[in-house]
Amino acid sequence: MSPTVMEGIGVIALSALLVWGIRFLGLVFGEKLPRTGFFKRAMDALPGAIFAALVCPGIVEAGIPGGVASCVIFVVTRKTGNVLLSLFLGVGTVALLRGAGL
Amino acid sequence: MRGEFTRGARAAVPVSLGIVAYALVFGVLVAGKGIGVGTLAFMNLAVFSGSAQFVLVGMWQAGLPVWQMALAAAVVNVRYFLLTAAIAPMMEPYGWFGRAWRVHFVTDENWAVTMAENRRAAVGANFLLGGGVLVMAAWSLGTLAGHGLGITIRHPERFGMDFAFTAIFTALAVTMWRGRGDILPWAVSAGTALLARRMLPGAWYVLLGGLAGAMTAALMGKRDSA
Repeated sequence: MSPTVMEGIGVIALSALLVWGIRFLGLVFGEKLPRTGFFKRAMDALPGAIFAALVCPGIVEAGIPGGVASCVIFVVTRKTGNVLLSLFLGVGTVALLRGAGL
Repeated sequence: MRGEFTRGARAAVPVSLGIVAYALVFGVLVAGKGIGVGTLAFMNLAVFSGSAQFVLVGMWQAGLPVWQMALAAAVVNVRYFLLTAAIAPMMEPYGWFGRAWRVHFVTDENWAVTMAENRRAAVGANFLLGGGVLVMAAWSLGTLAGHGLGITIRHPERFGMDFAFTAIFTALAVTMWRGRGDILPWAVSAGTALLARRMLPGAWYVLLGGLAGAMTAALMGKRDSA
């Protein structure tokens, strides 16, 4: 049973408000934190830590092709610094290895 | 400021290419649920979160109360709390209104690009905004194309398309690497994320992994920020 037009608008508007609220509250939280000592070290390390948390499950779930592709991406990015090239080679490696039955 | 906006948009071109592919698939899904183009465009602009929109569309015909659907969409986005906490210093030059609308343009992709660039040389909120606007354009155009053109991509995993986001975030992570001091925090973050991914629904793994890694780095003690 699909929502009515008004219900559809309502659910989108409420979702938008809640998602924006999370974004905004995070910003407020970040502004309140002290910029020295423990909290500075934590905030400096946070972006890298989030990257590790974002990519690790994806690599593990992609199995051997994902592991090999991440090694390819590591080498290519370190050597060239070209993110787009790394994207294509990483995706290509996964496609190739899956095509080979891995 | 305009220069920084343009630089941010340019830097987000690679991630936007990945987004178009993802958006096409989403657009096809939306059309299949009988959701109109106008509703889709409104959702793209107002919610502007792929994961939240996937949840909403997935529940669209389930007959659930409005608040339950909205709450489910919000829960998958708890990770944004940490992403925006990390960009707080960039937003300092702006008043509350300026921060309030700019923060809407934070997505995983342009946040990642901005953080990677910020590691090389400090950038401001307009860099983030430039990337955000491009990501919104790519997402909107991709979803509308998928919806309107009836494009179907059979078995996108055969082409490795399901790995595109992991690939791009991995490449960006490599550019964020600060040295051996990152080994333990990143390992803790990755381990916590893996565990949380298995035990908890949604994207809590990003929040918990990121927090665990950052706390580890802070507890390790003195370290110069890059």
